[in-house]
Amino acid sequence: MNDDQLHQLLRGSPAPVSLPSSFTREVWARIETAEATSLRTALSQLWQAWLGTLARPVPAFATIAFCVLLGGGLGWIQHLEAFHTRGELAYVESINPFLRVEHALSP
Amino acid sequence: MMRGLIVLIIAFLLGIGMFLGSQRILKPCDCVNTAQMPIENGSLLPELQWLRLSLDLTSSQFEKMKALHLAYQPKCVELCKRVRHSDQALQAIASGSRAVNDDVTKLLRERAALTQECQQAMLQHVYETADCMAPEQADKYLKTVLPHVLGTAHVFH
Repeated sequence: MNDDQLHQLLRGSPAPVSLPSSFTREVWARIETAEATSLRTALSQLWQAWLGTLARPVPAFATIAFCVLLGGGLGWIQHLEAFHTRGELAYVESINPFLRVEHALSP
Repeated sequence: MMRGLIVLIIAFLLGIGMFLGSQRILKPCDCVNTAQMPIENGSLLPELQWLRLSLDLTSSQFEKMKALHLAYQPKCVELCKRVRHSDQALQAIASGSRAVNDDVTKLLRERAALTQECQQAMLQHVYETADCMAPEQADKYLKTVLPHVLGTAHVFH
């Protein structure tokens, strides 16, 4: 029996199949689960690849240098903001009689 | 992989350490460094140090501004005392009253007049200070200070 004959035979005698009402929902749930798993796997592989890269001297040094510079830079930015804010308030306080009163009355 | 994780943790900890260290090394305000502060009659003027750095004032501009600032201080102190006395009197009379009587009204009027006097004095001082600066510096100075002088800082911040 070749494929055409098999096709004819199958079309000629369809099997009575009754699908459960939740069939479509379950199919989609399985697809979503499979996709989520694959994403998790991909992220895990990426993470492991990154950690593997960090085990080498140059990327390790670059990462440490980046983190140190980032920390120092953020500290410097915060320092500048604090300097500006405190200086502004100190100056305004020095010329504003009302703020001097508050300052004098505060313990 | 374990080695990479250790490197990452070390980098993270060093970054946090650098941030916290910079907070300790760099004081909250350069004004704390008294060696850099302008001194007049034995009094440190840290607020002017901020103005000098913030507006990038030249030495001559700064000298003029400092002279104006010091000349204004006695007036500011005197106004400060009057505001304090006015506040105390108003507090005392309002506490002993249960209605807005003539005495309370009179003190409220005096307080309002004093507020106007203070704002006028401040405004005049600020304009005189701005006159010592280049137009761009004066614009920046006025934009920063005027909301505080006029009591409208809450509108802009």
